[in-house]
Amino acid sequence: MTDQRLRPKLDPMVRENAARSGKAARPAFAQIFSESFDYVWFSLRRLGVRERDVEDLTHEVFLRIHGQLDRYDPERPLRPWLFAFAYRVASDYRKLARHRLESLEASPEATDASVSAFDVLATREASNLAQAALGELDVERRAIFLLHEVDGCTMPEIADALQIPLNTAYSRLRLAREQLARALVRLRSRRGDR
Amino acid sequence: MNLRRSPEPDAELLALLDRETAKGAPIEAKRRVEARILRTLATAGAASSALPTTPAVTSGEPTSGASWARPWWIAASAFALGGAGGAAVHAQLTVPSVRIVYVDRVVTPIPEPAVLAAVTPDASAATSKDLAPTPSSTGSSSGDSNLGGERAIIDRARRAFGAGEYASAERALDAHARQFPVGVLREEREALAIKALLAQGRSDEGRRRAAQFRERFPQSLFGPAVDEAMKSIR
Repeated sequence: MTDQRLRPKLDPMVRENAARSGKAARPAFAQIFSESFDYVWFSLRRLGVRERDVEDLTHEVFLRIHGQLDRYDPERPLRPWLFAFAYRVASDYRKLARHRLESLEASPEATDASVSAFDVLATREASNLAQAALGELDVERRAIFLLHEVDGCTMPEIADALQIPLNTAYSRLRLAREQLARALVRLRSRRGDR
Repeated sequence: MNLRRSPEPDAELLALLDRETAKGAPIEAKRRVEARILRTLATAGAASSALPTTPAVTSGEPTSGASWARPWWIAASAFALGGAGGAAVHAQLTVPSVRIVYVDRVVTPIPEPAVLAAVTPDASAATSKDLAPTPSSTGSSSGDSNLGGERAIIDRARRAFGAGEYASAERALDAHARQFPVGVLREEREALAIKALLAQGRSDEGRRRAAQFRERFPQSLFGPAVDEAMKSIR
C-alpha cells in the first residue's frame, strides 16, 4: 500500500535527512499526535467506545504509542500500526464493559450469541445508521472492516498490524461484510426505507 | 480466500462513516489530551537531569518534531514520582511537581448501574451524550467500573504506598484486581503491587510476581520501573 494518506507528512528536514541516509524516517511523536489524533479518536468510536470514555482511551492509546514508537518501522504504513493500539485498548474496554453488563443483568436482546450485551448497548447508543450497523459486529470483525473498507489498507498490511494470519483476516472481512449487509437490511426496514 | 461472493460494502454506510469524521474530533478534547500527555512526560523529564529539555504545556497544537521524553523514562520516572507524590501528600507538603502528577488523574467516578439505565427503551432514541449517567439515576456507587473508578482506586493505592502504608496499598490493589481483573490500569496495578511487596521485604513473592508481570506484559511501559525496583533486592 503506497497510499499517501496512510503515511505521515514528515517534517521537511526529517525527510531530507532520511533521503540522505536512504532510509525512511520515523515521525516524531508530537507529529503523530498532531496529525493522527482525529484518526485515533474516531477509530475508538467506531470500535465501540462510548463518547464519554473516548477521551480517556485516546489518552491511553497515545501513551502506549509513545512507549512503543521505537518499534515502529517507518517503511510500513502508519495508520494500521496506530489502529492496532486503538484496537487493543478498545478490546480491553469492551471486555470490561461486557463483564459489567453480564454481571448485573442479562439483556433480553443479548440472547443471540453473536450479539453481545455490549453490542446491544452500543447499538442503542448509536446516533446514526452507520454506528448502529457497526455495533452489530464484534470488535475483531469490525477492526478488519474499518481498516480495509474505510482506511483502504491491504489485507497483508492488516494481518501484519493486528498480528493475525492472513486467512483469518480474509475470513473476518467476509463475515463482517455479510453480517453488515444483514444488519443494514434490518435497520433500514426498521426506519422505513425501501 | 474468495471475497467475491461476499456482499460489497454498502455505499451509504461508507459515506456515513466519512461524514462522521469530516467535522473532526473536538479540539478541546485534543488540547486536554495533549496537556495530559505533556504533563506526564514533562514530569518524567523533570526527574532526570539526563533530559535537559522538557516541552512546555501548551493549549495549542504541538510543534512538529518536538523533543519528547524517551519511553523508559516515562514509566520509570512517573512510577517513582507517583510513589513520592503519595508520600508528599501524606506529609501535607506542597510541592508543585507533585501536584502536577495528580491533576490529570482526578476523574469523577461514574456509578455503575447507569449502564443499565442506558439500555432501557426510553433511552434508545437519545444520543450517547444524553445517556451519560447521573448519580441520582443510579442509587449506588458500589460498582464503579469505568476508567475513573479504576484510576481512583489506583491513586488510593499510590497514596498509601507513598505514605508507607503498604498493607493499605495492597488492599486497594486487591480491590482493583477484584473489580477490574482485566482493567485498563492492570499493568500499573501489578507494578505497584510488586513495589509494595518488595518494600515490605517480601522478596520471594515480589520476585515471583515480577516474573509473572514480565511474562504477561512483555512490552509494558511499567517494565523498566519493575526492573528498577527489583534491583533493590539483588
